[in-house]
Amino acid sequence: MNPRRVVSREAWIIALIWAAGSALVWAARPWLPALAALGPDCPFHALTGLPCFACGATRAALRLAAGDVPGALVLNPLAALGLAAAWLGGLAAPLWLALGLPLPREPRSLPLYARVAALGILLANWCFLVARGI
Amino acid sequence: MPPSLRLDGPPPARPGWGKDAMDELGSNPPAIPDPPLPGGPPPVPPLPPIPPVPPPPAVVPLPWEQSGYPFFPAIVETTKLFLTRPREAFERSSPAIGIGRPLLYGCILSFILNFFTAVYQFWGSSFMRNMENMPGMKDWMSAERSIPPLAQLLGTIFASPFVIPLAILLVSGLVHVCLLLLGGAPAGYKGTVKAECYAYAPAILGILPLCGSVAAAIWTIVLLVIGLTVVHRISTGKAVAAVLIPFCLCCACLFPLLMLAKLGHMFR
Repeated sequence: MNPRRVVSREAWIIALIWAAGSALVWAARPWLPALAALGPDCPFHALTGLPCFACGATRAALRLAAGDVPGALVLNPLAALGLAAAWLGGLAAPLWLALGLPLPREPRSLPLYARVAALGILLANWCFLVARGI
Repeated sequence: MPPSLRLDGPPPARPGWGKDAMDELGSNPPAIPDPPLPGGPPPVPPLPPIPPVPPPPAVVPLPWEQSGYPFFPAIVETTKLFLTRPREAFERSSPAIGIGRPLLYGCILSFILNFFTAVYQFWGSSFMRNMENMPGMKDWMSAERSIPPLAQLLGTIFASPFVIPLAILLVSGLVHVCLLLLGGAPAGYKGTVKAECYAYAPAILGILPLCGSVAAAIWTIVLLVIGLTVVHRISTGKAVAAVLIPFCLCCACLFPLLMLAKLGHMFR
């Protein structure tokens, strides 16, 4: 007999807040363009003419909310992938816990190759934004 | 050979020691000190008894983390503690407590800040309407004016309870990823969330108009750095880097510079 795994209270809190966030984004889709217009312009872009690491993320989020995944990837690939993963993760997290699937182990530190890889991905994404003139 | 001189076998029983006592001690009875020899050194007086070392004072948990503490006094006392003695306050936070109570604390304080900021923005909307007629401001404020002030106020108040917990977890996640990239976060994501939540203690300054929210933002960053150093046992430099890297990547740190540049352009 396989005993059911006990899920901690913290895991449920995080999963439910995450799910509420995904649901909120889904419900607020019609108003997202108006909300996005409230945000300030990118100060780095305004001062230097170059995109910052997060430039295009708001527009990518709006494209994702409209269901235009390729359009979002063109604007900021890393932000688009991160936002899509975060939104889908919010839908999956409570189901994951409810089904008693094993939780991924949380790392306390990252090996050097993982840190270098993360930095490389960030820089590659920025080079893409510069090349595209975002 | 007389029995007292035999080398093998059990030692002879001493006077006054019964068989049971000898059995308890086994074959190594305690050495009996020899009487002092006449003419020898005087006997050393026995050392005074060492006073018992008092146990280390038990760490009193934060009022907010004590189960029997009344709700409002717990918020007030905990906030006072984080504002006046932040390092001690973070050390008093129990590692055994989950993220539920710290998250509730962060949400309440953040909501206070959001509520008062929205109210002051609503009051200041008439002043902003006059500013809109100044040269250079119309384009800048067109987005701001696209939503009526009352809708902004109500939207902030009603959306905050849903958005704030999500924002806290999201910001904690960004800071935690930066900590991992910088070398490690021994207390885990839970520790980062707790530091983030309690770092919102200065949000109470949002009650003050104009400068309150700015002061709260700066103080929150300082408190978050202190919290990360205490919770994760990392250096201050690493904590500063972990807190500021997301700001720099998202260029939030440059926003005041842009504001100054725009104001300078406007009054040129």
